[in-house]
Amino acid sequence: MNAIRHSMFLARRHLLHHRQRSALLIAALFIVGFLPIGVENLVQAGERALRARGEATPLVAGAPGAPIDLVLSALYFRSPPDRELRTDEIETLIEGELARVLPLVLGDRVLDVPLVGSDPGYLDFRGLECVTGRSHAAAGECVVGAAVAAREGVEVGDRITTEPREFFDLAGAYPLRMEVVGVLGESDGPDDDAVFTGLATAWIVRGLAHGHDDLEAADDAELVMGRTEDDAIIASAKVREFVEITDDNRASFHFHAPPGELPVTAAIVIPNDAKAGTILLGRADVGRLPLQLVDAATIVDRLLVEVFRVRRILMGVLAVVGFATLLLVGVVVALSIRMRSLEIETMHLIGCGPGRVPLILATEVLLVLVIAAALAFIAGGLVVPMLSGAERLILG
Amino acid sequence: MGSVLAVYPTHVLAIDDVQFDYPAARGEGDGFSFRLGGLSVDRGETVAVIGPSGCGKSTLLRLAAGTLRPRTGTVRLDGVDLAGLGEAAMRALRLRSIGFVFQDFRLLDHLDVEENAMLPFRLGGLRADAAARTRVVDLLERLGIGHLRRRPIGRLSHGERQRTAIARALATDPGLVLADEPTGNLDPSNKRVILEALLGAARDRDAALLAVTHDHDLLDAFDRVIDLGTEVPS
Repeated sequence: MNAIRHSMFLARRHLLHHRQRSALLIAALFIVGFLPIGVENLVQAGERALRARGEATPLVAGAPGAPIDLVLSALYFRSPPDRELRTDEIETLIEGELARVLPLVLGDRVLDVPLVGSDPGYLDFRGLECVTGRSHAAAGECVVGAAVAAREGVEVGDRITTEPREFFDLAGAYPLRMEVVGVLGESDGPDDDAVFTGLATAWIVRGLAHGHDDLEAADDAELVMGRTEDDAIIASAKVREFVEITDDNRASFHFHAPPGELPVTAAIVIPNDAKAGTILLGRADVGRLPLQLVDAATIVDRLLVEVFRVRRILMGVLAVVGFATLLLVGVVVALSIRMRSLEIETMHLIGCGPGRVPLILATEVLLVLVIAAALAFIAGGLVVPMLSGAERLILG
Repeated sequence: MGSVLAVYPTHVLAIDDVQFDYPAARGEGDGFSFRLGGLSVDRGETVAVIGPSGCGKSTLLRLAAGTLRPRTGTVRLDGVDLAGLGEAAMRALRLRSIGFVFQDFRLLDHLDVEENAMLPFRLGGLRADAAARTRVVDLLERLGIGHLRRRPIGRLSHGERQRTAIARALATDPGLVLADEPTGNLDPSNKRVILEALLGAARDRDAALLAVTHDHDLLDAFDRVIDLGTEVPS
């Protein structure tokens, strides 16, 4: 016992005396241990979050195409698939009243996060509640996710402006100023990093609806150039398009497309029961629906297979790098022992007990390993809490 | 006479008619053979060993320390014939009964002055208890470096380092101190001061001192001088 105590003392003093070398060794070994632990914890947390989100989302509908893209859009508001559905195609899902449908209109951004157009039922479906304010109701209103609000310092009553869709298209849709009417509570999911608004507002942002000066009442000759035979007004470029929806101009907003043709990126489909879900999936399978309908959990499982494959490759690479690092650390330790030959000889000459010098050297190595391993475990455990949204990190 | 445990209380070190053969280097004819008819050192006695390079001064110290085993003859330490001891017993005997002072100090840089002096207690079966610590602190005071107990070795002068090495050599109250050029690394003004510190500390503890030296100016400080270059001591 004394031998271990004295060896520990001498080893500790040696490591402290050679702080820089010890720190380098610990850092090298820390990285060797931390990377696999961190990656493993991150993947596990991401897997849990992805599965939970997938299992909380029964079915997802969208235009035919890659189901993974569709599911990631509907669950994580990622870049929408190239093809979108029309509103009247969504209507086919409601036939027979087998399910409730929550359409999602994606593709625009505000405050550097996705702008999600849906009806307020989406917030209820996800169990999201406003900690301040209320849910969006009228066009031009929005509610902000908890993380966005905290990061940007957004509060109820603030105005936020969507990001321009096309910088150099003068005839394109203008960014829209929206009023923040609510801030959502934290959900530890992608809803924290999004801004929610109504479908109408999302379409306005896309430029599918707009509001402008009331030309019927206008008496400015430079504004109204004339009328066609069927009494349509010909306006000049002077016509002023509103970039914010207010109580005064809300009535002037109108669509220039039939309601059934308005685009929907994806739709969350909530069957009334398991049987209804099976019927809907069957309809989609046999082509009775003009869209693809997928089980979100199944698609997430398919995605995770790919994630695990990448993890195996990464772990293999890390194992090789770790082995090489351990070899280098071994060389450093061997050289260090060689440089200490005089010290070791002196200890032997003084009468050092047999095995004591190897014990001291082994204790030094062990201390370095234990410190590096402990730091790696602690840091590995902190990866998930420190990096919120593990699943988003995995998805890139 | 043949018993390992035979005790000769008068002499701490007794060397009798030893011969040690160094093998010849490859292609260089005969090897070197060290012979010594007899040498005994008593407790409290200080002996200087001088002689030209290659005459066997260091060999004598290593034979006395038991790190070399003679081909013939006997080396007894505190009456114990070293030839009869195994490696473990030899180490234990060295730890308990022999102190070493080196020309290049051989202190551990990562320990402070007191920790270096206490080193023998951390390397073997000796108890590093309060009594040992008190003894070491007293020794450091006696050597004039009590105020430097917590100072790292790297911040000591050569003289202070050698005093620390002397404290380490005497920390276990050994019967014999072997010193290899203890003043060889010191500036002239410091040599006699340090040597007298070493001799004084050894005498205080009734330890015998066998010191190899090239400093002929300092020989007067020793009780006895053995010149391996001109005489075969007996």
